[in-house]
Amino acid sequence: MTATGSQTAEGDAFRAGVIVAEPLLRVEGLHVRFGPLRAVSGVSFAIAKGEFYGVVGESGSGKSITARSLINLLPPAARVSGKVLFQGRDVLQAGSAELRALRGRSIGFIFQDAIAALDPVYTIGDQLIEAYRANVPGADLRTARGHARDLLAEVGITDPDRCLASYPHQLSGGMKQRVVIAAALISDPELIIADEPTTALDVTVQRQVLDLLQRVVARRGVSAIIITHDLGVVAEVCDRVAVFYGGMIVEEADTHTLFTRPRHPYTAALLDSLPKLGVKKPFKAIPGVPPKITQALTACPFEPRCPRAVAQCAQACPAESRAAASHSYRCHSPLP
Amino acid sequence: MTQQAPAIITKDLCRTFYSGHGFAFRRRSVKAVDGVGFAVQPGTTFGIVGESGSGKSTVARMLCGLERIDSGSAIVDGHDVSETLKSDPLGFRKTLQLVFQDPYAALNPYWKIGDLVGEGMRVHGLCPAGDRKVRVVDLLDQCGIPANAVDRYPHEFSGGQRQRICIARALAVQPKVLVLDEPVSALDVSIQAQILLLLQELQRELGLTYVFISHNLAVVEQICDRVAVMKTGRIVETGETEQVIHAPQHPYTQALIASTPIPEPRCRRMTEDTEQV
Repeated sequence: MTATGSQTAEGDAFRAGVIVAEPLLRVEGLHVRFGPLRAVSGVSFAIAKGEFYGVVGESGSGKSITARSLINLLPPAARVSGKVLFQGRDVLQAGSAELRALRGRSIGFIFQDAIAALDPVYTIGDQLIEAYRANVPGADLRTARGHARDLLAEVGITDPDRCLASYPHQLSGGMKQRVVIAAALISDPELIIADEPTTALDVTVQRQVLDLLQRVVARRGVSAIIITHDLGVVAEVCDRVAVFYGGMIVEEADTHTLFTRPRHPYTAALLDSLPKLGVKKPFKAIPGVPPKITQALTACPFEPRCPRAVAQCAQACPAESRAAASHSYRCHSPLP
Repeated sequence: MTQQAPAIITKDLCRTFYSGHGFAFRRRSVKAVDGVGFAVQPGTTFGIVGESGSGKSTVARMLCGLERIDSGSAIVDGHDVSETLKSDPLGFRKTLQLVFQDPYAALNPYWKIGDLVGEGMRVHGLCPAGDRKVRVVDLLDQCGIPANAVDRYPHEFSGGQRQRICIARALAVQPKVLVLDEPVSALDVSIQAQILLLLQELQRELGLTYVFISHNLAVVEQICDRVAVMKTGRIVETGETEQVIHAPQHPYTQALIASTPIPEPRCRRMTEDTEQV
């Protein structure tokens, strides 16, 4: 691809995922185990500034555990190895003071369950103001309140003052999710991690929340990671996507390539199994069941369900191959 | 095609819920279902779509007799639901069975699969105890569950397998109508298609009539012959699925279709371009 101007070159390189010299976040060889269970097995990826990165996978594929590793928020039973470098610092080695500075301040985390993420006995205002003052020590109440009000307006709440005075149970699901997004933004984070932010919402509200996230990322120039099981959501908002299966990234590419020319049979099968609105075609199921993460990684985790499996697939877990600078996959028998 | 008598006819179904009690709180009422009427031809699939709170699950529960019918009538296979529930509740439950959304909650964890699936046959005295196990194994096989499952417990199965077990259990009394309340929304995407294909196959083999409740228009489009769109207790649009999806008349249906994420990045590019203009 020849670039004509410096701006296009930058844009292309960015879209192509050629990681700039200093990525905002780089994960290297992340492994997470819970006793005999291997939740995450050797995950590596990097996110550039301003990028919207998607992580898709089914339940048990390791996507949520990976997300929580990024802010070192794993249960004590987890055994973690590898590196999570945020702006060059290793999050996994960070002490508790450093972590406190990181969580909420540099990295905003939007949890799946907005209802559980808000404290039922405090008003929205109390919670947002507390979060702001925790991150900006010495801020006076009036500034904090003004900031909270502005943020609520930014996330599309029509009457921010009334919302500030409300308790969580007085708000609808979509409003609560907006408040949670506002809370994640309150300290101007450089990275927003959203774990299934729209799973609990109705489609029309989901659309609004996705639009909001996209707008926030574009306007503030921050990076975002969205974790989801919905390929439709990914296609709507993400620049680049990683497909998780059995605790590994089996394919990673820019969104357009991933949807139009997937190389990994799992990605292709997943796309085939999705009913698409407006296109009535017989859909194909993926036979079999998701892999057990108790088994050692001596074979490709998708091998038992794979229509293209060859003898090699049962013998060794495939290493990462590259189709293009921005397109990698793990498969012995990739699609052409 | 000659029109058969519909398997399900509902007329002007209504259900109101009340909240608050005593004098301190004012009693507030919510019309969960407000004048819902539709007919379903035997052997076809009727979809009900809508967002949470639209009343779609309440309609399903009213059809099954799990929710009182305040006014209006529901007739399933020629029998009025409210009347039959009083005169012959056992017989009514043999014509209609229900498959729930959450296969993790729908199976008693202390019961073996064989007992769970065989219970309906025992209650209805459908086959002698000696033959029951054979019949259970047949049913499980039909739903893609291996025979050795009969002596195992629900926790040993994945979500997709549990939903298959729930379907086998529903089929145990040889019903004519299955009410499927969000049967695939709790499942992983790669498993959803398996269950939908199984449902289609069973319908072809057994001539079942389905009422399919869902919030996912893409799924509904794939498996429903006719569809009704519900909003705040009312049906705002109903018709052939093709027609409703491709030429929606009601603004709410149009909004639902526009909001559904489409797994095609090209669609997104297009909206971006139009926004820039």
